[in-house]
Amino acid sequence: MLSRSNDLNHALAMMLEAGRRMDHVWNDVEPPWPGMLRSAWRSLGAASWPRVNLYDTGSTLVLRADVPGLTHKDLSVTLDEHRVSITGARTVTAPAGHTVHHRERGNIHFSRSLSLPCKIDPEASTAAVQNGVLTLTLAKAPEAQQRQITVRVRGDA
Amino acid sequence: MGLDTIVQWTKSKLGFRDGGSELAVVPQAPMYPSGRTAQPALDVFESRAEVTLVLDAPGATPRNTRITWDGVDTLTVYVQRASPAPGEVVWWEQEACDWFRQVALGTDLDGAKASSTVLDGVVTVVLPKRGRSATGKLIPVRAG
Repeated sequence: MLSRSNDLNHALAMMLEAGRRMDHVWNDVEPPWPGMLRSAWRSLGAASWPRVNLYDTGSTLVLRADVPGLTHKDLSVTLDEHRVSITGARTVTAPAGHTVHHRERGNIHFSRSLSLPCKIDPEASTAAVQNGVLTLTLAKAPEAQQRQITVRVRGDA
Repeated sequence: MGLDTIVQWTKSKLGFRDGGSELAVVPQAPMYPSGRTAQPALDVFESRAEVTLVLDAPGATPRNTRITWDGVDTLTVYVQRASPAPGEVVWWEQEACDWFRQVALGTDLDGAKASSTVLDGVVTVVLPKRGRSATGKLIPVRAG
């Protein structure tokens, strides 16, 4: 389990932002090669989309991912006891009668899998997408939840 | 510190200019910047009658989104989406931050007649062109 100070968080955020901007470079620059090489080029940039944060609330793990423009119809979530997989796609088109001046939002087809830090109960877990944010609430398996043990004085009944 | 002072400070930090017009204002929900912002990805489209901007801003709702036209040529989109973490951070790829983007556009756009929508974390702003550009007058050239 990771725990970082605010300063370290900030430094890491700057590195991630730099990475995000590099992703734009990967996505925006079209290589001159056709076919498989172009797909490989795009997949390099799309490898880390969407960005994911994972939180531990004690009884659940909460996963949040930014998926702008996607609805529940565009997303598929697969759970097993130690792993979560998210797949989805979106197609961006110009409004009818418009020409494209500037484009940073691309078509997206993604698949991400994450190993979870503890065993979960897929049956008791839920997924929701609202305002372009996917939230998975993953119920921890009973054996993965923290347990409080009463301390007794030796000799107490 | 009063609420007005905070709002004025917020506007000054965001570069809002006096005299500009706000396209989507919810007076009951003043904006408080988290201190950290990220740039949403942007598409710009143009037709004969209007310019359309589309921004990826996950977390945006009509209530937390403020769009401002400076009265000349600059559009500002600000989404106050930062929210507290629901628990202890286990894995972390994106910092909690607001969305902020300023775009300089042509001076032939009519910001007062602009409209905007927010759907599924995507903000769309439509700025109509002024009449003189859309229906320009043809000036005949005569021989001297």
